[in-house]
Amino acid sequence: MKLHVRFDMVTVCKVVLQERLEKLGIPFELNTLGEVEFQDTITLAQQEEINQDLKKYGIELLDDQKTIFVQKIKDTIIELVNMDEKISSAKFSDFLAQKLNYSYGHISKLFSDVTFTSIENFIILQKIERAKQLILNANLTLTEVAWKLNYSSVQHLSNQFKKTTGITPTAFQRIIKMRRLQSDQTS
Amino acid sequence: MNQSPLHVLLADDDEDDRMTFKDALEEIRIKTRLTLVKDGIQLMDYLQQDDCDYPGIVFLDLNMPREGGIECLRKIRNDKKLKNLSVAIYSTSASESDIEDTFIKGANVYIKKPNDFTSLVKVLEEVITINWQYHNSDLNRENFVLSL
Amino acid sequence: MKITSQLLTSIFVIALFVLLFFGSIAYRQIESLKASELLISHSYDVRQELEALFSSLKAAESGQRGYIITKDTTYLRKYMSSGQSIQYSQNRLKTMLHGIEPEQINLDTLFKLIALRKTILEASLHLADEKVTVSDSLMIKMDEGNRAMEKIRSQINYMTTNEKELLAIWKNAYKKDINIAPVTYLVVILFAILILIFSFYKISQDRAELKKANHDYVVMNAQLLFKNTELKKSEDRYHLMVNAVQDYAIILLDNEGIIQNWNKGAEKIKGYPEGEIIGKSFSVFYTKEDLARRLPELLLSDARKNGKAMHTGWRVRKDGTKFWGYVVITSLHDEKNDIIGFTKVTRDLTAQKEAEEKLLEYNRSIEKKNIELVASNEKIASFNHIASHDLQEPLRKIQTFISRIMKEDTAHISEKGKEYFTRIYMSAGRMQQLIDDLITYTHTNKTDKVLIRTDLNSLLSTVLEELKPTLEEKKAAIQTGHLPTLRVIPFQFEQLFTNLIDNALKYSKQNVNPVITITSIIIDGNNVPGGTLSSANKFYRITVSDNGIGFEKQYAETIFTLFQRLHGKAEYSGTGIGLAICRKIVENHNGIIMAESIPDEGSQFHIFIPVEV
Repeated sequence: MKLHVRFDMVTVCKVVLQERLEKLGIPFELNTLGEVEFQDTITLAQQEEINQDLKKYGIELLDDQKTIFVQKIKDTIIELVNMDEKISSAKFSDFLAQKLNYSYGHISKLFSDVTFTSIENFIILQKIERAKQLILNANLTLTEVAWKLNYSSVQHLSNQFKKTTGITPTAFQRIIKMRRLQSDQTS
Repeated sequence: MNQSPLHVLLADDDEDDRMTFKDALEEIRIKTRLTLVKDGIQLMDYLQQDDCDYPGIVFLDLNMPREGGIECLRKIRNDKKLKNLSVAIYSTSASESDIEDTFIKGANVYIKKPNDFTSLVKVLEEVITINWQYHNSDLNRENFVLSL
Repeated sequence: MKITSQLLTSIFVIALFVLLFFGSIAYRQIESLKASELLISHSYDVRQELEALFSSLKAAESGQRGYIITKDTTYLRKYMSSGQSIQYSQNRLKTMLHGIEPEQINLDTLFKLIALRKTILEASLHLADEKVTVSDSLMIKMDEGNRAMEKIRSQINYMTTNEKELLAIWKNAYKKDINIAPVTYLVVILFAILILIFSFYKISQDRAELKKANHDYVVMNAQLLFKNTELKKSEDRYHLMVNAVQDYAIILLDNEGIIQNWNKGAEKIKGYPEGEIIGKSFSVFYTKEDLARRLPELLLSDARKNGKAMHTGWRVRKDGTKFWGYVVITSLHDEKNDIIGFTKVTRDLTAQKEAEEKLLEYNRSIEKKNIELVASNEKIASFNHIASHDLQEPLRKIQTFISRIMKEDTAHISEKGKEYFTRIYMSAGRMQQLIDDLITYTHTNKTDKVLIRTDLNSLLSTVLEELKPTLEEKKAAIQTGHLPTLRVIPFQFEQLFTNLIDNALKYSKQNVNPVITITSIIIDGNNVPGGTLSSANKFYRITVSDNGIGFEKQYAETIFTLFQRLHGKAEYSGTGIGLAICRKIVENHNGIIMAESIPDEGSQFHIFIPVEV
């Protein structure tokens, strides 16, 4: 038999991070958006120790200011897209600028410099990813998904889905279902 | 940028295609390093080494002698260690049955080999960028499906 | 309650005996009553006579005394008459008591006493006549007479008492009889009444039953009569019918298989007229081979054994030609269940047999075709694979390398060389397009696609969305009416609309903005041109019309043929596969596609799809 699980990576990471850091015995404060604030300054050796310890869990210390900032942008976008309620019609750009306290132009440039993809693309990718989840896990209809993700129409959602993934939402649903069926059979 | 280059692996029996792929990959903005194998058997041998340097993404030609892409895909998805590799099908065919079939069997990306170089560069850049997003963002790998 | 006649008889016998028994008791009682009564009256008579005798004796005595005293002869006469009365009473008593033992003895004693008295009386009278006045002898005689009289009196008294006693006894007996008699009578009468009632009830019941039975019998009789008539009629009708049956030979055979009866069907099927065949054996209908293996006899013995025999095979007509006959022989039995003959029903199935054989042959050919189809499908599949992989590969390389030359090395190539490379590139592109279209065309063959109820309106809007760039580029206007929801293979219908709109855009007039109209109506099956593939009687007619260059009427069919193009490649792009794919898709949906056009005014493509019931 097979159980399908869904987990909140952010929570998982926070818990793991908290546990590991507590073990190292260095006093710290865990901020949102992947920021750990130490009360005292820590040595390079300590930093390396933390880095090694966390690597086992796939958690990396980001040392580059830009990368950290991009991660912040990403987290903000993910947070926005994954809200349980309907995505507000307010523009992402305004939201990001307000939340990160930088001009949208600056945010956008920084993002594409680091990720080689535009922030718009990333938002679309995240929205479509969320749409996939909603289609598969919540069993919502396309109309419901389109409404929830603030698309003007099902057509708009379908087009963007197709453009992003290369296949239509229905084909995607079919493929994933068949894939699960197949792996259920083999396991 | 001090990011380590993305490890890309291509399995293709056609020498021209391997060459073109290599050239195209060099033109994209993301730093990569490429491993080339000539068929399915070589690919599986490579992946099953004990100290394997696992690629971030595998490009798989469907039409190969000895062991085809579909068979490799099946083996990868049934192997605990290889299960989570991103697999991009890299094929001449764009037939709907090939596309759906490989997706069902667990491919993440399906690329019809473009017939001009510029398109190939564009496609590869897109695939690698998105693949990278799936690697370092909170994206569900199981739902990673892309057809170009 | 039903009483069996046996029980009834015994009841009657018992009742009779009981009645006789009670009757005899009653009779005996009456007899004894009568006897008692007689005895009683006899006793009275005896007593009366005795009294009369005594009084006569007294009268005689008084007369004798009077005469003696007075010597008056009147007294003497009285005396004389009294003597007669005495004699009379004595005689009567004698007869009355004759044979009655104690009384008779008593009577004899009495008579003797009377005789003595008489003698004494006579003697005294005699003495008195001697005119001796009261002499002593007379006195003695008188005394003797008194004493005798005393004796008589006591004797009579005795006898009377006797009689009284007897009377009392008899009276008692009589009284007893009289008391018992009514009860006996009552019992007898009640019993008789009971039997009478029972008999009456039984008789009336029997009468009712009899009456009903009688009525039933009358009704049954009438029905029987009616049925008889009907039977006769139906028998007549049956004979007429059998005679008139044309499709079946219905023949009556005797026990040996000799033909007894012949109908029209037999004549029609076997060719013999009635007069010619009756009396002959039915084996004349069998082929030499069947006769050699004694099939007719085998069939008859089979029918004898199982009641029925069936056989299908070749039979011979009078003219020697053969027919494929289906024969059923049924044995006929009389009341004793002995076989008295056979009916033989033969049907000429030659036509059916021929049809069957044709069907079989057809099926075989279909089967062969199916095998061929499977083989050709496999070929198509392998062609598809070859086309999608092997054919495209070198082509793709040509294109890729040219694109690289054009991108990286244009500086070293002459203008002419550049032009040639462009032409090679275009040609390769065209080849690619051809292969892609061919793959789509062969792919359209696939029959294993699933039909899904699809709203064609939304399907069309998806198509239009995808065509948006081209539509905008051509400044085309699309007008759509309301389309139905149909069970279709969605991607094929998308392809269908795409190809038709593409076609309309492709063959638009220069300098005129294309206007494409897509509408749907329901029409009657009769109005579908040409033969229909479906038995449905209602069809959707979906029409895609344009204001393009159109085509001549004679090309209305050829445009749907693979690789048929009406125009030069330079004028209008296209591989000549698009409309062939359209036709294939429509045919996959049991529909028809046709085109009509007026050159320079525009074309109309009509799709007819059966309306589901």
